Amino acid sequence: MVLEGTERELVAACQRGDRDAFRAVFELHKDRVYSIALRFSGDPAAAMDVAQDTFLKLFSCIRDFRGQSTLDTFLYRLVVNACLDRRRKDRRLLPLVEEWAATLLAKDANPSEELLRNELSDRVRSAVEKLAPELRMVIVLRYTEGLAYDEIAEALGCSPGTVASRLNRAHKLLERRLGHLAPEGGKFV
Amino acid sequence: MSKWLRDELARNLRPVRAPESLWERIERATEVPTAPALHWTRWAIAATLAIATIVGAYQLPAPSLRADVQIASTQADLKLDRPAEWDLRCVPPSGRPGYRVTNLAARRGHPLTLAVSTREEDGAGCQACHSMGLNQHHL
Repeated sequence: MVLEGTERELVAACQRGDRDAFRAVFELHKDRVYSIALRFSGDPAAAMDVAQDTFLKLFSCIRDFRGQSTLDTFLYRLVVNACLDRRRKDRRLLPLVEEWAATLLAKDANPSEELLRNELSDRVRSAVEKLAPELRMVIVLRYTEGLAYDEIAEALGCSPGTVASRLNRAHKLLERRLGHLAPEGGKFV
Repeated sequence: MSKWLRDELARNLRPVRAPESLWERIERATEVPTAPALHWTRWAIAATLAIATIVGAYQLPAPSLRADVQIASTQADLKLDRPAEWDLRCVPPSGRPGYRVTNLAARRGHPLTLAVSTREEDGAGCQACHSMGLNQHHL
């Protein structure tokens, strides 16, 4: 049974078809994969689908993993692709969902500070979800996973300069959309 | 970018724990590809058994003969008490008919074929058949 060991040993065990090794890899990475999927999609059900697809893809193609990159990076690529694939499939439904979410968010604010904070969270996440997929993904990898520019670049298969450019554009868009919510005198406006 | 926005992004996009049911979903999904394989295996076994049954039945010994047909180890006596019932194509001689059967072939779906070579009483050939140029009776 493989419950501990180096990444190389785990991968080798997975390549031999060891189900315990698969489970160990899953346990090591499940939160990371699910978090990226959830923050990218904003929908727990969609995140479950993406996470499932990601691990199924990992287990089916792990025999081809030659160790040119870390398993983390390999997994990031898989989850990024799964998110973008899912996004393409759901493209038709998203405008309706976004419209519905915007309607909900437009309701009068509750005076309770907790509710205000919740609403702020909703608006921040909604603003992130409205970003173009390539901008949203760099934001998610940066803030959910805390990846450095070169790590994001490796996961996305682009240059660090492209990552910096996308992050810059995403930050500007988010500031434009959320800037009016920034606290003034300690209160949320 | 303002510190406020950076903090809000970090707070609202923080990692979360994956639901416990995720592994069960993955296990269920991995079982799906094996199901058709088992399905095909079952069909293959069933088809093989069916073919073996058909071939075996085709090659089984002939069904037991009527009580009035006796077969020796290499030759058999055909005792014909009721010619009409046996539907012989030639009329047997009068008296107590008895024919030595030298060959018997039984194939499922085909008439029982007897090759009658000699008459029992005098060892003569089956005149009725030989005169017609036949050496077989079809029962």
